[in-house]
Amino acid sequence: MHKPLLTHEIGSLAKPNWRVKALRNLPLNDQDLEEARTWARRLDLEKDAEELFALLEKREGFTREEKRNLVAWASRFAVRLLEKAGLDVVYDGEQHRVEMYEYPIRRIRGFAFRGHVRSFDNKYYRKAAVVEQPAVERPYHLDEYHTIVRYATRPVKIPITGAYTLVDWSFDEYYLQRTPIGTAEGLRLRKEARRRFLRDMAREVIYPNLKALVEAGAEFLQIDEPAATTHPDEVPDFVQATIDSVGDLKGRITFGMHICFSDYSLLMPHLRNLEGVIHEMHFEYANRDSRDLGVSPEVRVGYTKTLNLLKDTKFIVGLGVLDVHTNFVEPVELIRDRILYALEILQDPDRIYVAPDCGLRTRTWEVSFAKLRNMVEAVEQVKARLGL
Amino acid sequence: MDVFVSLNGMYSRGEALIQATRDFDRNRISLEALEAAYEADYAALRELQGDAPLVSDGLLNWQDLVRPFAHLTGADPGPLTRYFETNTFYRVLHFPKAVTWGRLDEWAARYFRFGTMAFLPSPYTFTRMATGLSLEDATALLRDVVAHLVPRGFHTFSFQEPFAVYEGNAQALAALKPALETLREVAPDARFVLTFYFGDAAPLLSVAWDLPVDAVGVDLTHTDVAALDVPQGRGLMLGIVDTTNSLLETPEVVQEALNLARSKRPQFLILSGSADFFFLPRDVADAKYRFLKQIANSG
Repeated sequence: MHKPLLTHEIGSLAKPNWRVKALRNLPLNDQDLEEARTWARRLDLEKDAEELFALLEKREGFTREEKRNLVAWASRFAVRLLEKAGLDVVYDGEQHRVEMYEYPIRRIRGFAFRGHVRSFDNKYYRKAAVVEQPAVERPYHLDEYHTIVRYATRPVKIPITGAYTLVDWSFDEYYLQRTPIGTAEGLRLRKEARRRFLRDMAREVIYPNLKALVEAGAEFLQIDEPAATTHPDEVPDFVQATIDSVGDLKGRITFGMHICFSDYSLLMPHLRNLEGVIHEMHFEYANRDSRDLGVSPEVRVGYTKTLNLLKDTKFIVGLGVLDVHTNFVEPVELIRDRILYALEILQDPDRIYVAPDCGLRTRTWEVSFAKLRNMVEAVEQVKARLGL
Repeated sequence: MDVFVSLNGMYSRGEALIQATRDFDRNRISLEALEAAYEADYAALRELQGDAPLVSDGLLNWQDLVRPFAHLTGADPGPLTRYFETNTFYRVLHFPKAVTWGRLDEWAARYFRFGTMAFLPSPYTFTRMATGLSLEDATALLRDVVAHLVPRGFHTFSFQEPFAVYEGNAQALAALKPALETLREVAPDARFVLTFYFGDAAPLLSVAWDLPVDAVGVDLTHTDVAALDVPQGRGLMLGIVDTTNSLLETPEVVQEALNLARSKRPQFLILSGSADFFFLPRDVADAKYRFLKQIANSG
């Protein structure tokens, strides 16, 4: 699968309205049906999708089986969108999932949802507590993987939320039981409890999931850890949890890791312990970069510091070149210059994979497609320049 | 020794209010309906606190610890910034060179609906959550707010100071002395608490006790009570329930810290959350507050 300047996406895409509404038991309107037809046309799926159109005509009251069918269709559309954009490795943009926390937590034994907590402003998320030792009764990304490989004509990558992020975003009502508060012994026990929670999540939840996917034939798995730097003094624990999560699968397939919107310097030097465990280390860069053309440090302000952190490591650098928080469609020349600048620092196209900063779920398919098309075109221009 | 209970900073919104704020943002309900949802939640919070001497409106309509000051001054809320080591974010306030002051009475009526205990950013934390705001400017702003609230029944002020303790910044803390003295001038009889959270307060206490405050608040998920010294005549605000975790405390879990705190003979104890309660769903926050009342009443 490996090739220089390999292109892939990072996880989520927006979900089609017809998929969202149907699963929420809301009636579909003409516009929703037209959306399905339009994208089927654009993705050359019109003929195959007659079955979908017929199903959507029902408009409401979809059965559980029909909803499953609609998710599969959304997955097929999303995979085709990424293939049509020209990516080397594809996924379905989380069409099977609610999002990256609630979806796995609902499928892991040992958690109970406690209610909504505020993230910022009037944004909230549903937060769960671990109430017994967590375990996986059935790997929760296998159905998704099987659906995607059925339709994909290109190699597939499956992202999975990592142990550290799941732990950090959850309450602990199990490991912390009977831990005194406000005493030296209590403070020590709190740290121990956290490590036990993390170890169990890595070994009993993430590892079995990764193993099941590897055994099913997955060749590229991405561990998402947006919370990795939340507690700087726990970075070594996060690294150990990743090692435990991959376990004896190390070296059998390609493992990527995605971390975003963080102070990456906090990860060093501990991150280097993941060399040989994780192949691609993907961070976000474009979000903090200028939109000016050029390959100088003054222009490529979003890249210099982070690339220098990774320069002397053995990681393949997952290079975020698309800002996922704006509808601005990065011109080919801008993306090209971002890649060329990374090449100047890293000196090796084999050490670069090219991707958006993060998942594109907050952008429309129209914008996502335009951004990804330009990204692929920029990579082609760089390859041509390098004679690859 | 008097033992009180209190909220700590921003409290959790109830599920109905959460839904109302979401609906309002999506134009599904009117401003009047949103305000009615707030009123219902304020009423529930008032009932929860009952006749406790230290009562707060829970800052339910504050988006973060400094955002209301944007409405008072015309400061511009900036991009999202992580709120310490939590999965919560605030917006840094960018203060323009010339600050325009709004009407304090209208502002205070909106952001301090009722209560006897007011929570405000400490001047240092205020400057750390803003750009273009000097310690002197922050103090001047807070002085006017405190002066406005005292005649309206607020007798206890908790100045929230997570930054100094998180950074272990004794110098910044020492520099608060003139600022707190300025605030004292407009509230000579009020009770001042400097509340630390998200860090171990013990190394900073010798500096904190040199400040004109009646009590210091400590986060017991980071601080060992045994390491605290309490000078005669000063109080302690004990963050003795963990507001970052939903596990409900039991008397056994808090007993040792409570006994230790009493043995320091503070003039008064305020039992509270380790940090803001809004990190918890409302039901859990309410249960933790009731537990505080229970242990306060158990003597």
